[in-house]
Amino acid sequence: MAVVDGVHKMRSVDTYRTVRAVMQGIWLGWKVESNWTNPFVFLTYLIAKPIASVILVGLVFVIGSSASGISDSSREDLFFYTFTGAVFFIYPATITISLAYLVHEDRAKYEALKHIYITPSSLKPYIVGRGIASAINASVSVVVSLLVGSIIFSNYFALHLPIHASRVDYLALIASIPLGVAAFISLGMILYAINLVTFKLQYSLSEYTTGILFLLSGVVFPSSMLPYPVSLIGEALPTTHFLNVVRASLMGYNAYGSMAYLLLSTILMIVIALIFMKRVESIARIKGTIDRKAEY
Amino acid sequence: MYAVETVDLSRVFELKGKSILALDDVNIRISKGEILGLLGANGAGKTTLVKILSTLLLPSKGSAYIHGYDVVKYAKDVRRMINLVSGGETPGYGMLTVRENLWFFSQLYGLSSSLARERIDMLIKAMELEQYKDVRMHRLSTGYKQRLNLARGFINDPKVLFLDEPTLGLDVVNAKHMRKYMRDWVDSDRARTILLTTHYLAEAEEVCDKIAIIYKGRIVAYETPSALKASLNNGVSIKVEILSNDHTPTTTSSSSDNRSRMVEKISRSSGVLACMLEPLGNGENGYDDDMGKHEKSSHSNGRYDSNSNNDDSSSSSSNGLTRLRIMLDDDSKIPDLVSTLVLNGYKVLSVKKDQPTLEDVYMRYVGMKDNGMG
Repeated sequence: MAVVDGVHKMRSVDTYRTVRAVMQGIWLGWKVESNWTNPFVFLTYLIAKPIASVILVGLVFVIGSSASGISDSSREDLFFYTFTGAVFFIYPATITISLAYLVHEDRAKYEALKHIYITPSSLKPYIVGRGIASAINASVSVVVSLLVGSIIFSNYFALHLPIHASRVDYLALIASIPLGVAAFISLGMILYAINLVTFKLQYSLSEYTTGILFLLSGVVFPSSMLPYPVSLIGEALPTTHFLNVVRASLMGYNAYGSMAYLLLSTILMIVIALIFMKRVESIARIKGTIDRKAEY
Repeated sequence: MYAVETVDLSRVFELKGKSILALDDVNIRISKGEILGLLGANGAGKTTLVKILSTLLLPSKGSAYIHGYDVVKYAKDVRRMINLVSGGETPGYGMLTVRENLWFFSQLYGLSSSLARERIDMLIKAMELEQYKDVRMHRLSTGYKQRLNLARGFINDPKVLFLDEPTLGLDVVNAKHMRKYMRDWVDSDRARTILLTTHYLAEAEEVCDKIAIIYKGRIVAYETPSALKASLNNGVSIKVEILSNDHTPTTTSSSSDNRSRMVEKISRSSGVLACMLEPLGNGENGYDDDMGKHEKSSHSNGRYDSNSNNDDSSSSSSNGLTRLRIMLDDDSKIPDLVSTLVLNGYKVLSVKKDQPTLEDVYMRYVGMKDNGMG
């Protein structure tokens, strides 16, 4: 009985420590990403880049749709698809890029990685915390981009988003965010793990990954349009289902079918990330890369 | 149960198709309440050993335990008990204050808010950081960043603390303060243990209960400082001042080469256990011999390095004057040695017998190996 109590106590201490480590990851992520400049410059940085990306995608749509001569009603539906895809893609892009780059920052710039690694909570809760901090930043970017983009395209290009506040399925929309974030943090953890044992992909890995995700996940066109079997890969990605749930919930359609796929793909992604991370940590300890500085 | 124990611990690195043996069957046992000093030149294997013990690196062979926990199988349990400070590094986040940095690490160790606050206050005071506690780290000088690094090492009150050259880059006063702090820290709770790696022989002698000398991945000596010195009973340590008869101007590198050859030649002489160039004292090169051995970290002679035999040109020779420290197996060999020096064109100015020091111990164990005698 005493042994069982001891095990329970140990587990609760572990849980307590893990929660605190996640909280610290969020706190540090916020501090690191927001404290490098004054609040005005930070806010500008936080919203300027995503707005520019969203407007760029919108403008490409405007030019493309004008040339093809599609009807106004189809044009608005297609615009909705493209615009919401570009806006909500900010989540996976921000989270995966920040986590992939985190290794380089902590290992070389702050020399803190090995000291985080040898704490009892080690890397995973910290990575999750940093991912959540990025998701919070991404949320600001998403909301602002959605508002600013819809105003610009509505006023200057007569493109109205068919979103009606009364029809939005808020429950599905709100539920999709943590599910999507969990999947993107898991993906970010995989990139983090790769960068933990490599040195030459620090900058490029996340760029390649977000580029591939953008292409395969139904951001600006449905993944079903991709040639088989590439379309299958797109259908398996949580980003695809995340965007499907978001779109359906904004339009007031039934989003729960896509939600089930999102849930499944997120669980799968978490499992893959945890297994991958564990394996890579072991490789990093064999190769001695946890505290090794860049080799170039 | 030992605080730290290694059993036939080995580590091989594969670099560009070559296998490099960094640790070779290392066996150490550190009891609770002990400070073990690990002495060795650059690349001897000190940091590799610390990395394995602190769960950063896996061994290639053998095993290592912290309070009975295998560092490979029970890394998570080991991490609850350890911390690591690497000298010359300043880990932490520049945009966080001193207090925030310590808070961050305290939380990764799962300290409760009240305990974390209490310990941070205590460490800020102990490391004399009060004035800078709310200053962002990037605004601190290197010395204060080092103090913060040290404070971080004590934040979880570890059972075993690994200090990898912790006073590297610290000035004399800070280094002394640090040594006193680590000694007091262990003495105040005999369950605590420190493994200290250092180049500074005097630092090891001052704070360590035991000393291990590591050479090319092997522990070649492992005893208390006094026992190590006593082990030199059969040996004689002498200081010899010589003047080169050839005073023709030479370049620094050729002069250094000549001295290297001379040291090599003496080292091969009969009865010589080890030979090294000694730094010149005050009035010659501007710093004191004894100080130079440990506190003057910025000077090459402040660090013990096996290579110092060969390249310490600035500190060991001036206008043809060279000072040597030589270990002989017997004082009857002194006349032969003097003859050898004279025959090789040197004027012997003085020969002085000396008390054995830790430096002699190091010379004997490492110098002998360098001479192929070990």
